Amino acid sequence: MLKYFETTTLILAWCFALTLAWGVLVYWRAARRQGCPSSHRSEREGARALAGITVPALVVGPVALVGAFHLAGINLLFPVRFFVDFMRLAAAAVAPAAVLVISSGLGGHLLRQVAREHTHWRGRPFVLMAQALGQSSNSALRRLVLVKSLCGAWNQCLPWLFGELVIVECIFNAPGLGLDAWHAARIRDFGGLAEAMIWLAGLYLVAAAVQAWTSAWIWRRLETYG
Amino acid sequence: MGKAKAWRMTHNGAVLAAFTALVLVPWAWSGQAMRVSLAQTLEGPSWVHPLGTDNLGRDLLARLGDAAAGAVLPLWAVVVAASVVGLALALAAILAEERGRAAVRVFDTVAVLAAAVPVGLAAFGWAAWRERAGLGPVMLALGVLFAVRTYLQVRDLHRHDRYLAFWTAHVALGGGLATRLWRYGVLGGWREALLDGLGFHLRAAVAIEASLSYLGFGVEEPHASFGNMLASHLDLYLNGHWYVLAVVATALALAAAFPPCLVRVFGRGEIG
Repeated sequence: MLKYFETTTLILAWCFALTLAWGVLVYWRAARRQGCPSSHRSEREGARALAGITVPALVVGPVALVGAFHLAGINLLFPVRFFVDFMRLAAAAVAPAAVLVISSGLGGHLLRQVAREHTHWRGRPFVLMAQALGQSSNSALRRLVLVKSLCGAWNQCLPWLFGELVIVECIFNAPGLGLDAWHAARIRDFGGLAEAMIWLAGLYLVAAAVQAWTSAWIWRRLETYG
Repeated sequence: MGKAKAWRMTHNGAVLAAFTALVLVPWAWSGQAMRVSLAQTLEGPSWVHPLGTDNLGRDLLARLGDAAAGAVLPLWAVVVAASVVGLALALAAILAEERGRAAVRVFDTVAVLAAAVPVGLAAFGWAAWRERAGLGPVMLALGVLFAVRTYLQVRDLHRHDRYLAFWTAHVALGGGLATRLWRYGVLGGWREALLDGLGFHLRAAVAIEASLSYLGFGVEEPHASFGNMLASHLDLYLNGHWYVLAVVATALALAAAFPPCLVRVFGRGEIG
């Protein structure tokens, strides 16, 4: 069971890394546009347009798989675990993680959250104070907006992320807890199914607890902000 | 008219028209979805088969129409009914809480715990445990979970709005809670949030049903579902015959995009 756990954890870790990278990119875009008079409107429209791409994993997954193989010659299916080292496994987990980020709505939510948080906080006294002291407003805002947006987006999308995990692992043949649960269910191995589901539930509880703890920490910090 | 507005108008209109047409297909092509013809497997589009045929020579358009009308529409009916039940339960709980019923808190705790369960995992676990494929287990799992989610959404909206000035003014004027909930809540400020929630639930239901059918725990052959159509052509599109994948994936994306469009156009009156 530990090897299945490892694959699922790798995929989730990549999900986190990809959302972080996407958050930084979106923040950079929002910060660049802050001086533009129509920035708020264009951010809103951009967010709405991109939120529409939260299509099911069953669409994104197979299309990514076939597209990558036939257009770029890249095989996105997981390699057989026995023959490869950890680095190859880690690299193979990127594509399922990217599909999860898109199909669970994490990408779209993060886009909206960053735009909303940036607009909300940039007129606050601590930002004006930083500007008065000759610092950039971004130095005061960056960490707050990013962490708060990431927390909000993960809070909204965590159940959907875990819901889509099974199907994504099946599409990419990733030997994780979802694929194991599916195999167990197909051969009516209820012991195996229960074990995989309990591990998945445990992982979900840990992720939810970390997210709740981070949110609580942020709120405590925010009480000290102006 | 701005470019963005024109784009949204075209997008909403195209999605609504295309999916409505897809749902109407079974009436026009009745019986074609199940008609196997091994002499006509994997044919391209023609006048007889507008979207071509699948790996058993069945008309692809008829299969997609069958999936939309036979799997997606009943599921949506259940989700709408579950949302109405969740709304009614929430209104009843708010009224009961006003009268000091402590049982509401227990009900709230159970609902919060149930809502924390990932819907997709719960539906998969339920269908696997029941050992019965078909729409029944999926409908039951989604119905219960979406009713609970709507219940919690309405409870949150009420907690958020109950101290608003016009709500408290209505209390001071002697207005009843039921009137406030209905006029200021359901028909007033909550309408958009509830419609957005419903649109999201409908979209999630499409994705979950397709996923379960793909895994073999939802709608099974010979009945059509977007998920089992993708699963039965897996080896084909891995070998480069991606046409069926493109058609089915487009139809599935269309079905997932339909509820939010419907909410935008008919719920909020945003034509563009």
